Amino acid sequence: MAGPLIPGGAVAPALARLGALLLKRAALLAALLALVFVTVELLPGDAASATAERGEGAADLARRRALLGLDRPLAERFRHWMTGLPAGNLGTSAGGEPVTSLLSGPFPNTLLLGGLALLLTAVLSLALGCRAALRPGRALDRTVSGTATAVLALPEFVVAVALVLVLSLWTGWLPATTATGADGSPASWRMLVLPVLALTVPQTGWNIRIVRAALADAARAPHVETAVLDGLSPHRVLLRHVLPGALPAIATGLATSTGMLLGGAVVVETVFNCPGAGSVLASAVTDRDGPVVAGVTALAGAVITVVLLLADLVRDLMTGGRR
Amino acid sequence: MSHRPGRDRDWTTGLPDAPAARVTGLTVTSAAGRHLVREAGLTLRPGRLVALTGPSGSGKTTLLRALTGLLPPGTARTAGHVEVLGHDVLALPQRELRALRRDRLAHVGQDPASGLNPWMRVDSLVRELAADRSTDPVALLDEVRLPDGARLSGRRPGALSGGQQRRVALARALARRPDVLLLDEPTAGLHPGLRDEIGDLLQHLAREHRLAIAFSCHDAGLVGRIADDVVRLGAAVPHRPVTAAGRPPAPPGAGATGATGADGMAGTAAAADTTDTFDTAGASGAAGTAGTASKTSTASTTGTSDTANTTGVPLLAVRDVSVTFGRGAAPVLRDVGLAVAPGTAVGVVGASGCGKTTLARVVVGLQAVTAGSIALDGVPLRPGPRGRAREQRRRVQLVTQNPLGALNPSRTVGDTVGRPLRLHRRRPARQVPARVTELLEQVGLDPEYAGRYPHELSGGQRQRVAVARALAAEPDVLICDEITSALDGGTAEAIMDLLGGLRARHGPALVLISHDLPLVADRTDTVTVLDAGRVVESGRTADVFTAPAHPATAALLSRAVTGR
Repeated sequence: MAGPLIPGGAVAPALARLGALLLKRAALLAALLALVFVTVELLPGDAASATAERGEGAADLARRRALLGLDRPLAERFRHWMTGLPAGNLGTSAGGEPVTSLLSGPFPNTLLLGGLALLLTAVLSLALGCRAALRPGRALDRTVSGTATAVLALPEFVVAVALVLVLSLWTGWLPATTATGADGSPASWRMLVLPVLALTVPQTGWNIRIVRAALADAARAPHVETAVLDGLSPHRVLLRHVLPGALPAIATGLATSTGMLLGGAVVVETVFNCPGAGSVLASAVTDRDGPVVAGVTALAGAVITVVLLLADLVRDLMTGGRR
Repeated sequence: MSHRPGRDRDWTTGLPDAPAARVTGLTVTSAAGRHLVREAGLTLRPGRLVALTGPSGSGKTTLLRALTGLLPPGTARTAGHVEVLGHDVLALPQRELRALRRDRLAHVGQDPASGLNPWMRVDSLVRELAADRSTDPVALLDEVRLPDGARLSGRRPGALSGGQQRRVALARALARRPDVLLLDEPTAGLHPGLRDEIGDLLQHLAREHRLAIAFSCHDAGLVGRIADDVVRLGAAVPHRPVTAAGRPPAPPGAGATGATGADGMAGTAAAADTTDTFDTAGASGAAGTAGTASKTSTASTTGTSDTANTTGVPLLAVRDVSVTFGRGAAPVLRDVGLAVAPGTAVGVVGASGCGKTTLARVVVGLQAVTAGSIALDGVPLRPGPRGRAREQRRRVQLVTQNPLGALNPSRTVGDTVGRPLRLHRRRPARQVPARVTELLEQVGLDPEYAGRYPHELSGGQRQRVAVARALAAEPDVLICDEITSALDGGTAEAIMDLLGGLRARHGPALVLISHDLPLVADRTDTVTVLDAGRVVESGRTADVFTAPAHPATAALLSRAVTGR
């Protein structure tokens, strides 16, 4: 009875919507980068003076400023830097090195660290949150919810120090610092365990609470009561009837965690001496090295944007099912 | 489907019709101390159909829920026993209760739309509860008279009509091949032909497969035709018509129902326990009253139909609207048009699944269209979920098929009704409570209900709240999508009379969407007949119904005649 629809008929608007969404996110990222440039500019001193060697005169500084382009107005520098972005050119650091090559080694390390931590966070918070939701109000639920709140309040460096103390200094099971291999990445997987744990613990606390609350919310839907009256097992009710409704909130919570994981990486990489973008960022801020700071921000922003898009996709899929 | 007719039942003691379930002296009380059910008795036997009747709010739903062993939240049994298949379900350990529900005891709730998991496809919904892996969902869908089950089984509940959802819920219940089947208003919201088919199906299941079936129903005709026993709850509350001023002499279904209703109920319930049938007398009596009410309202609407023809620009104009769900699917609406003149009533009728609800959603802007336009007073409305001005949204209000889904569970009735008053600046803040009281009285609810939450109300009372909320916005067009399908005959008449009275006093124009042809015939000036997403006929109600030009209209009419 239905006339054949043009196959592209429904795809084209979906692509257009995705395109519009990406454009919006890109504009947001550009605004963020402008803010980063302004912030670095507002810090006392600039790249030329921060990297100045003892005994350099005003003339040397002026020459270096001209060399680095720091004598040009901020807006122009920002425009210049931004025009390089689409081609993958993140500019030049104060030390004269291209930012891309400066970050090509450390950034993947940070991604690996953050990615492992995110994965572990997702698995732990889903598993514990679901266990707690299966028996609300019981011992496990109270323990998990209580611990989650306590852990949530701990900063990464406190967790990191505690982990080093217990798992490294007292027991000697795991190395306390990271040695770098020939390719610039950690020499052994065992060196990743403590940094990943230090990042995971606070984020798991936060995400368990989200999972638990989202499941409790979704369990109030009328079809869940129907499933209970149909005599389905608690596991099946939870997985098939409650969890789909809770997924959008859980995905959004995890996506938010990505930002905090990347931020936490700066601290954790410093504590464990990991070769990552975090330590590059920390030294770049000390050196007032605007292009490097902006470069790290751009990459981190891109990663977070992708993760947020994935979370939105989960939400769209879940709400799309309702229509 | 093969129910096991002669299968051994460990609870039988050799007697062929030992009770499958027995309720004795059951009293259920809410947290506030109100009696929802008082000293109710009920006996279900294999092969017999027991009907629970009574006005909305009389405890039908609560009694059925008691049989499942899970009372509604916030309520508790204060006296009596509930025994199902030899088990005291209110005291059974969770594991055994679960096994009982999973294999032998099926319950289908009043509101199938919200009872189906929106993320699961129809075939998984049915297969999830199947007795064995070989069960074919499509065959089950066929058995519950859902034509085209093969096509629908890949859809999710959101892409089904209200009537289709109801049958999917029934198929899901039957998939486990239960011994006891509990149905809360199984035919509400279905057109008469389908209602009779479902009635016949229930009878068939009881007779051929020896199911013990209990169903609540306010359709006296159907009860009289198929029920073996009738248990009447709260039957002592007489129906009081709502006057044109919208002020009922005393609010029916209010706190008083608990007391008067329960007393009458205890007596009749006991009678039902011993006598086998006392159906036909009561049923035909009720049908008779409904008939007279219809006649009087016919007379009252004739006056307004003249004004309908004198107006030029329609207040609301829907032109050539088409809607398609998803890629490559058949359109749900195709080139549908609808015109509503100020102060008139327009009917939209059609069989289940013909796109009536989708049309309502398009008009209020909840559903995006693939083609076509909608205009209010000649001004085009954005045809989608966004971009309508607040004033435009205020002027078109919708009351839906499913009042529970439409009311915010965390808001009291008073908040719900008061919200449009504030949002649309209908009243200054200090006058809001007084106006809420007025609106609740107008729809026949005790103003005391303002402090209650939706879950504390019966289906009929919720629908009254939904109507009050829509009226609070003082709309120009009020769209009523099967609003009486969950109400008993008397309440439905009262609500319709109330809407008619409002219209007579320069109230909103009405769009009545229904499968209930007599309701539409008596209360509308023009009617549009939908069939499979197309307008097959439209015109003056009297002309269309006396001389149907399209076979679909004729089919609807013939079903209406035989169904009544």
